[in-house]
Amino acid sequence: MSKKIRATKFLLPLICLIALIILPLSGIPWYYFHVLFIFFTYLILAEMWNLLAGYCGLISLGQPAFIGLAGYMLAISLYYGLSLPLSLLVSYLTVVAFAIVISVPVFRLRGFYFVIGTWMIPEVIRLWFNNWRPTGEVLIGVGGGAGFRVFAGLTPQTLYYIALVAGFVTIVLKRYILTSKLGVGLMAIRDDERAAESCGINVLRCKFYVFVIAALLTGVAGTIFYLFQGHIEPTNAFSIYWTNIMLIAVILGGIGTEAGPIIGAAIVVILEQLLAAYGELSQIILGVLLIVIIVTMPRGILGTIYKVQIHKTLLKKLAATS
Amino acid sequence: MSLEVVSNLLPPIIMGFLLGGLYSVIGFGLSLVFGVMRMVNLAHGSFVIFGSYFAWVLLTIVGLDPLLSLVIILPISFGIGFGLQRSLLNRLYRLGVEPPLLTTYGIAIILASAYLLIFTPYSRGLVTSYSIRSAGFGALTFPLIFILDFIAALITMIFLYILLNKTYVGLAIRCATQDPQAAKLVGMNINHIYALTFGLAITFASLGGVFLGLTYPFIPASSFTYLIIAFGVVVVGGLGSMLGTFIGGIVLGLAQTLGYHFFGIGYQLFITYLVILVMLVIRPQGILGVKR
Repeated sequence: MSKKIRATKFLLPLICLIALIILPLSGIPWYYFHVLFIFFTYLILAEMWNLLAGYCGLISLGQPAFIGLAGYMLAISLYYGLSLPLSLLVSYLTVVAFAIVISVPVFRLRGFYFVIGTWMIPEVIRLWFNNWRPTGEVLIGVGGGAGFRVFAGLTPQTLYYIALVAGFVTIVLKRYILTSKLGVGLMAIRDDERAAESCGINVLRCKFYVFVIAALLTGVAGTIFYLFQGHIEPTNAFSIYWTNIMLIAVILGGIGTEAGPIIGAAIVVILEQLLAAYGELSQIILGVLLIVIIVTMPRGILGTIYKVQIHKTLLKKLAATS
Repeated sequence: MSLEVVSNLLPPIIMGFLLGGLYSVIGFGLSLVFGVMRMVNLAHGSFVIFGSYFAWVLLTIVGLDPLLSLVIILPISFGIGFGLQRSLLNRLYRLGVEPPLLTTYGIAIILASAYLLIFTPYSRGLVTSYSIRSAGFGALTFPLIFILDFIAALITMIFLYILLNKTYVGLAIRCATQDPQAAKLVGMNINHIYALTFGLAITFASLGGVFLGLTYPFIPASSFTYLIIAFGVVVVGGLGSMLGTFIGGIVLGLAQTLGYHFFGIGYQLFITYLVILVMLVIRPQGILGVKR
């Protein structure tokens, strides 16, 4: 019976993946691809924030820094005539280098200082990009905006597949990290940081690796999103809105759980589409939802399910019937 | 030549110094909440702007002078803070460190979006007869409002000092800071103390907001700016030290006005944030703080 459960566990993601791959061939309206595309980007963001906050206890509110930086480096590289793969490489290298540099001061901060200290990072970069004119073009509106010069060969379908691959790679990578030595260390840190440290786990090094990996993949999500958007502008690129999405997706799905961010990202995307007509009101609703979830089920949807063990009885029934 | 440089430099220095007093008021609220409840109030800046918008509504709709409207704004702010802590935040401490923190983040999102929804993203300002007048000593002129800011800040800080050091409530708050368990043991209602503290912090945040609204124009996103400035005050001055908070406020005020003087309006906040970041890197415990 447990073999069947394991088979279901393995088959379900595979079926989902194949379905997502052949979906563009079915000719359903573009709108759904758009939603799925957004879902993949949010999924990457949420997964990475879950690694940071759920497993390492690093409540980083500074992730938009990597999104905006990656997007901007891509825009600037494309502007100066680099090819798309080369531009992507430049932007990822910049993000990784920036994450490594910024990790020096960031890891000296604790608690109170860490939370707002990380919040400051995107704000500082945003203020810099507000004044800096990297592409030397005159733009209307709030300063520092930049359009992407090349769109060559990037159909919506290609972008969809790029996002799909990135989302898939993220999940596989997270799975790989969590089953590796690093992942065991992370789970120990999640359960009890001091105990983990006294067991000989190099807590700082674990956190450093996760910080850099999270920065890189958050940057990947940023480049994909801005390739799709076609233009970038500091107020949105370094916006607190990105943090809202990661936070709500992870808290909603279940912080520190494996599948939580996937469920959370899906719910956030659906909510966002449903509430799109209400503008700012949707943000208020998401904020209220965040508080309600924290108060009523602090471990999120998945954490609550684990607690009451619904999934085991369900899977058993499924296995018994088939 | 050098005399000219000095006479050019003097107004921003004086303005920065006077503005700094106000910054220390909003910084002290953040530091008080963290000191007593070990909670980072990420909505602190949103409550600063709450004061500004409240005063703006009273000024434009009722025509009430912002200084007079303090009589209405301060009790309401205290009530909101008290109620929020009593009804929502107090029940979250047993869940750990993150839930209260993330809840204040949720409050910050809700308030910032509500400001956008109600007041639109355009910048607003509290314009009164005295907020646009300039004060001068000989050749030296600068806006009069900065002097008012400093007086308000000074009164607030003296009030807080007396409250925390000379009254029974202050004693209870300091006791809860030092050892919550012991405070419970001697029969203190710690939830009540927490609610009082949060109410006080919100009151002084919105007081700061009214005067900042008189001094500078504000937009909904200013909530995050003031959160970071309040944080910067704590970083520069050191956690829990009143004198340090005052010094921290003045350093940031100077950073802002001198940044404006040397690099122009686009860079004034950038310079201020840079000062905070440098301070975080070289001396995170602050000028007067004790290393924990």
